[in-house]
Amino acid sequence: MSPSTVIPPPARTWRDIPQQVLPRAMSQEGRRRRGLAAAKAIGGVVLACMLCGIAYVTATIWQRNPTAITAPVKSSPLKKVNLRTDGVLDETWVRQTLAVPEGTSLMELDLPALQDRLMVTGQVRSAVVARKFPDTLTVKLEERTPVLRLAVRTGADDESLRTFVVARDGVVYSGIGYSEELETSLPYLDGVKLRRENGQFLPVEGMEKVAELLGAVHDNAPELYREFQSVSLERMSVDGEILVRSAAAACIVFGQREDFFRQIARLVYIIEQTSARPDPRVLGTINLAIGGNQVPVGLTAPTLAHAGPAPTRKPAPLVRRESALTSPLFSPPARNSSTRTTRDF
Amino acid sequence: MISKTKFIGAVEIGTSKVTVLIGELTQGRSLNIVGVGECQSRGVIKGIVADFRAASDAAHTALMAAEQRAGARIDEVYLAQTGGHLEGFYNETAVNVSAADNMVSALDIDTVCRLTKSKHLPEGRMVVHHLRRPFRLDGRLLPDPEHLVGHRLEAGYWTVHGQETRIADNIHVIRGFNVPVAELILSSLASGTMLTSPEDRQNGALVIDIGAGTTDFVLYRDGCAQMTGVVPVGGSHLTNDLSLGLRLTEGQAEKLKLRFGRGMVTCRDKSEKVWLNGDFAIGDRQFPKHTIETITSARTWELFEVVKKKLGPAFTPERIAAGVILTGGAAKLPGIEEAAAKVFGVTARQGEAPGWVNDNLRDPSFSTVLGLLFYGLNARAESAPPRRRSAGNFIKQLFAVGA
Repeated sequence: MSPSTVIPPPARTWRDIPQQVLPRAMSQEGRRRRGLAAAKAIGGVVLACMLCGIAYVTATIWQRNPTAITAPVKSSPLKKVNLRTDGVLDETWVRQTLAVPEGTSLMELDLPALQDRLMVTGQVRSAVVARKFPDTLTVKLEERTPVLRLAVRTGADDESLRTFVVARDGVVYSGIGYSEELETSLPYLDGVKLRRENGQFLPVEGMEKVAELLGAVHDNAPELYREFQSVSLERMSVDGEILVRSAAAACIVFGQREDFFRQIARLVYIIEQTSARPDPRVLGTINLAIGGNQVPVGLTAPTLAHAGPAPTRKPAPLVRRESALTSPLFSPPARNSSTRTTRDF
Repeated sequence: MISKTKFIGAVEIGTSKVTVLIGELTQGRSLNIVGVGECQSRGVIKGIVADFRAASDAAHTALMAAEQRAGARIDEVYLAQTGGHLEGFYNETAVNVSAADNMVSALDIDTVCRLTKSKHLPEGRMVVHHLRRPFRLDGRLLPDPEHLVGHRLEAGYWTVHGQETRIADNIHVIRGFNVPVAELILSSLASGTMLTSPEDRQNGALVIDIGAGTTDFVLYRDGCAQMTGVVPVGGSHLTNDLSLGLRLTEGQAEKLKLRFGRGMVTCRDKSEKVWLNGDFAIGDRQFPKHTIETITSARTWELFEVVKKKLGPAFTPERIAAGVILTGGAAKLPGIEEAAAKVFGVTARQGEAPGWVNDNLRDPSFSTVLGLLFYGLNARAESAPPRRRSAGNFIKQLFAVGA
């Protein structure tokens, strides 16, 4: 075949005949089927356009403001907040903390953000926020229980003095909703350096053991617990000793190597024996950390504070500056001796 | 894997009836016949639509009946085409093999085929079929000459063409039902596909479909259809002859033809008579049996003679080893096989559908619609582009070490 072979166009075939027929040339059944086919085609096009439109709107909203995408189901505005907690926080505090604008619908709420707001205070250990249709928000809180308290001066004047509490896990927080009775029943914490990070105090290390000790004293010798004035951790990291200043003794040293119950039992025995003796001297130092049956006890001459009953005036609060602290505790205040203090350590 | 099921309707709009067959094609390979519809034809004369409305009503009735029985809607139609307007001619072209090593390439084959098919047609006529005959490479008959060595490649086509308006009328009757016509197939080709085996086609066979208004024929040789034709004479002409010869109504003539008509005269007693109705009621009368047989056999012989004349030198008894195969409603005439054997000088028999065809569809009147389905599907399969080898398969084969 030469390159210049020209192939003429093929002859027309039956496939070149247009097959379209006017409706007037169709039978009734044919017209009905044609109408159905047209309706199907139009429906398909409309559906496709709707899907494209929905996809476009969704994509546009997602790019501009993802939070504007709301659930397809519109719900009624939030009316009630149902609170369940194992602590002292109430619904008023929850509402104030959540700060949900008036008229906000249930589906518009950002639950993770609300949970974060509740968790800002260290008093809340865990928070679960859930929707309960049609108009209720359920809040379930687990709170921390204070074990000790801290007085922290945040400024140069006396008005900057604030009281914080410390929980079993070492978290330092400003107690909300606690009764004054409860707060004043807590011993003070000493011998630690408070540090801040991102506006929050870092947890105090070693509080687990302190809480265990205080719990054991509270359960087995509540009268002794009521006389506890302060707990110092200055020798805890080095010697593993917990120093307690009490009305019964100037300094009680607890060790971590021996069971706290045994130490408490010895302490109670020593105090009882000492008070029963005609010796006018008072207990100075009781070192329970050595262990065994030998307990070094130091006696001191009685002072005016120990000569009579417990002072009735309210002592000056323990002041602790927010900056790095190095000086030990001094002038421990008297504590409220109310017997109605109940607390779960 | 999603199963693709398509419902194909095979439609034959004949002079006496419209037949519709619905086939369920699954995954392009498995075909099941799921519905049949028939309706008496109206508005069709000698295979040509004369009354569009009447023909549409009849065709649509048959289509709806078939869909109802199948419980499915037809997706597309394979339509049988017949009519005296259909004609054919043979065209042949030769090209020189282009490759320097004289190896025939696909381009050579494509070129020679396109050249052969590009013959100009008279105004108002359109191609219905291009039936390719075996290639010739340096005089050798070959079904596929690609990659063979030779100098001169020849191709020949039997082109069937018809009047554009008549073809369009047939298509529009179906389109009036809002169903597309996917394939247009000669009635003779459809019948021949069903009634001949590959061996018959290789050895040579002549299939004659005698309908009510037309007689379609196709000549097979060397495995392919060599020639087709349509004679606008059918069984209704036998009835018309009886009606005119014996002064009967068409209905009475039809009754006599079915009861006493024959392709060969067997009654030697010219005084033997037969009753028209046979119930001896008032109006019943007798007719000479010899006369009835003479009229019907004469028309039958004439019909075969016309077919033989149309075939011309293409028909030689020595090259038609499989003989003549008769089908169609009018082919049920007793003695017609003998008539065909005498006219054509070869054996003649009634066509039978293959063994796998259901008994309900073995009647000769269904051979065309059955053939429409199978011819159409085979033609589509042959014309489909070859599957490309995927890269994955290529890589597998490349690394099939020791396979």
